[in-house]
Amino acid sequence: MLFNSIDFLLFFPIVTLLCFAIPPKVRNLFLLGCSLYFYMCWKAKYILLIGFSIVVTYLGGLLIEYFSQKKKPFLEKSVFWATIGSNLLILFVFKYYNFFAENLAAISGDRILLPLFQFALPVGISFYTFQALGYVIDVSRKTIKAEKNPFTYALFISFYPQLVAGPIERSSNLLAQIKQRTSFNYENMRSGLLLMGWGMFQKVVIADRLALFVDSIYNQYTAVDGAYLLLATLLFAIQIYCDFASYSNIARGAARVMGYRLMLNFNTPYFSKSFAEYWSRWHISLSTWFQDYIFEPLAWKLKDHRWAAGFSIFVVFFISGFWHGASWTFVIWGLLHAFLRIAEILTKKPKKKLYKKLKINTKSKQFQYLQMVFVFLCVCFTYIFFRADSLSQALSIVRSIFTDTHITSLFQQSFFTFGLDVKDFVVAVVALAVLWCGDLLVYRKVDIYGWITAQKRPIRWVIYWLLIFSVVIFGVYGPSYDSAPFIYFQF
Amino acid sequence: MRKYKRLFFSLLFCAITFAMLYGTANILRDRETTLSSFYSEPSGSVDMIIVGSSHVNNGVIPNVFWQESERSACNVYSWAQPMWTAYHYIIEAFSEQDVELVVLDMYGMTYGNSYMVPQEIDRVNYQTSFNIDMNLNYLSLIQTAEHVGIDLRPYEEFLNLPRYHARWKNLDARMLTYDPHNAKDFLKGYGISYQSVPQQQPSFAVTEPYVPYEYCVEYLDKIVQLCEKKNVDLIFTMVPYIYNETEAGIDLWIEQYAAEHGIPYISYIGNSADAIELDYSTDFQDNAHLNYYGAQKVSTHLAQFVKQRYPDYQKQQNPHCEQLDEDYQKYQRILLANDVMVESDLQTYLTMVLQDENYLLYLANNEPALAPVLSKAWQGYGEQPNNIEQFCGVISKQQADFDQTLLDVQLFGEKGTVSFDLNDENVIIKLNDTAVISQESTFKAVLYDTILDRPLETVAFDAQTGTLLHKEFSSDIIDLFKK
Repeated sequence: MLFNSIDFLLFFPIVTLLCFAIPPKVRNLFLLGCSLYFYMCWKAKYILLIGFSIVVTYLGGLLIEYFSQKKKPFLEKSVFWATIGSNLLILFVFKYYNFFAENLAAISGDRILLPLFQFALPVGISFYTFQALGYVIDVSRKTIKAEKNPFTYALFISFYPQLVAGPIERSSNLLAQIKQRTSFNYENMRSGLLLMGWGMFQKVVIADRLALFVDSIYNQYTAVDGAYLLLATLLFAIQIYCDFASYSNIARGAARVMGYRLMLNFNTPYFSKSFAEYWSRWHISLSTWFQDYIFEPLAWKLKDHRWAAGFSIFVVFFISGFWHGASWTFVIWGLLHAFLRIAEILTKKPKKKLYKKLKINTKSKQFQYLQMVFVFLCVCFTYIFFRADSLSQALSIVRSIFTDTHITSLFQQSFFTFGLDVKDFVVAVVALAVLWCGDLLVYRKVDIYGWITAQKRPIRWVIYWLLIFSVVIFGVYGPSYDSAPFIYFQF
Repeated sequence: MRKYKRLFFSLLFCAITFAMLYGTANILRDRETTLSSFYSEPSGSVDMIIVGSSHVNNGVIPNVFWQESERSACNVYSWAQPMWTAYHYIIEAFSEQDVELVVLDMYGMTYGNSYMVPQEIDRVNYQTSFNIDMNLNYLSLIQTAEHVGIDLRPYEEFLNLPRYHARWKNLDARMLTYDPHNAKDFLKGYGISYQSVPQQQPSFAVTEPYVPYEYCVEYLDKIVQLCEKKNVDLIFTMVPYIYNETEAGIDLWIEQYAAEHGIPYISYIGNSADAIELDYSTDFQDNAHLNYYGAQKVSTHLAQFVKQRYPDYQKQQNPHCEQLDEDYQKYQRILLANDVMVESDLQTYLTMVLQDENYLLYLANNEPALAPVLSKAWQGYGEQPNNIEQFCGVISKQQADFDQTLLDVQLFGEKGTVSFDLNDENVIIKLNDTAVISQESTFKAVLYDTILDRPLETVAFDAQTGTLLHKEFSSDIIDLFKK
């Protein structure tokens, strides 16, 4: 069930209304049932996978805590690694096995041919697996206590707003809230719905509209000028941001309506002035997950080594690339970010000296804007590998952008034949302006929600209607419809 | 208290929002439908309907039934209409008119075995057949689409906003004003075409009936039961097209089915093929559709069959007899116009136009070479333009009015304007400030029929070939020129 579907438009209000109508005692059980139904709408049998993950990590958490209390470190470690390993094995089999088998065959010159599986990738498997692993690690670190109630824990893993695309919640945040009983709150409902509306705007008005252009260009990358590939790449950066952030916003909004606060996942990442800042603003739940569970333990273990930080960054981004998809293009994307991050660290001191020597005011706005543009362009460059279907395609696009770009080609009439006609283009420009203004206000810490709610009712309602109608009318959704072609003319 | 106030305003907000969404949905919804010909008939005026696909639209002339069988008829058609859509269109027809007879074209029974592959039928049917009035039958049609296995998600696919919201790109005043119940069509769902493309007559010695697709049979049964229940007579027919061997087998199956149910079956690819002396070399416009000449033969034969079967019915029984006679006269005018609209010689064209008192010709000339031809055509029509090499105006059998670049005239039943713009490369004629569509030329004319009260065509002179090029005013562009 997609958030931008009629199914969800029916599902969400019904579940929310019932959630508050039923006795609080059974609310978690009800939400668990709804969440599992939500997941099963994709492929019912994959409920077994998430069920496995829930059962194994739930029992694992209990056993780890038990053996820890009983001072049996070997058994504690054994259970810990068995729990982690079994979950990663499931993830490997369903997400990475075919990739592994194909590469093994390629490396061995087709001497080692493993059978390939034909099953579809289970939706959200990377998200809920990481969330469950985070819980097990937290229990093992004794940051939280193992959850005793299996239904509460199951709801924590399968909570439908964030089940399939995050945010990857921490047990310290969401599990704690689930254990408390929530009640209806008007402000929660209003702010939650507004957040969902904004998410919908990002998704169907911006992301899906830009996708028409980006897909059209990337699908014919050999036939178009480098300027188009450059523009498509820049727009892809905005598309993927809106796509991903929209899901998080809708998830956060839906959860908030029901009284749960999910963590912020995107915080105006394209206003970042450094790659470190970028990763503290982009997909925050995943970045902090890597930070907490991989980078810090690894860097700590290698603390005596000169290249501890660099190596840890390399490992994190290598895994991050793989996490995004079983393809070398994602790995390259991850490694490029690792390179950028490491280069940033290595050049920090020389840059500082250089700026001092050249008397550049690094605190000036102009300099900061330049930093933002630089970071954005570098991020866009990495997206070529993220978006391309293969390495050869990505390299061809890079070559085309750097050797065959004629900006004037963008001003030809044919521009409007690549997925966006003139009217779509105008809507895209206006929507991007709205997005930019919105993000700028957020970046400057303006309380937009507070400003809206402080307005008089008619103004508030007009704002709500503008949001609703821009989504409903200008959104890219639903079946494509061509006016009836009257094949045979009539007098 | 605050709690109730919030609840009240929340509910008010929701109510206003839903009302606005409903209004927006209705504005954006495509109300253009092939059923507009039927919808726009006055209540109680339609005695019989002919139901089917484009084969019916091109192959059956309802006006011929009025003349030959004294029954008013209307085509109830949609593009690529399968039987399940036919079933719902019949329900729709029954809810609008007191229909006494249904003539059902059986092409829909060949689903999955015909020149159109099922996916294409589904696509066309899906795109064009659901624009009927919003009512229970519409919802039922959606359910049916799901039932017959079209891969649709009905409540997502057919809710107005998901389906039509992108029409904001085509916003025009017509979205507010167009009403299919008011889109009068005196041809009653007949799409006229004189184009002729020779075809090879199919010939198969089929002896075994071929069982059609299960859902075709299911919905044929439903149609039969519906007509029985409503006490409406039913006739099956098969309008000619270039069929294959399997379709010939299906034709046999239908014949057996019709015999079992006591329903007449007039198949122009089977049992009645010889009755109309169809000429495959001249009577088709393509492999699937008859042209006017073929349609005339089929309609006349079918109408005579109806007359024989129901001999007692008289025109006068229909309360809208006068209107129907008027529609028939208009249909006759269209037929008359065909001779004029294919004439390529300018002088002959002008002569033909000026012989008919119901034609007006708005014309503009900036082509000196045409002066002798125009002078000759003018002889005997009194007033002459001051400069025959460069002029504009209107002529008819009764009048001539030249050298005014803006004329106040009757257009489409109300006051309107015709204006002219002459330049060296191209002359432009505008009806109600909208330029007519035609090839660039320094001689242009618009032929207007005062009985039909609409332009029939634009002609342009092709200096290279010395002939006239015709561009008909098809119904889909007429509204562009109305005020």
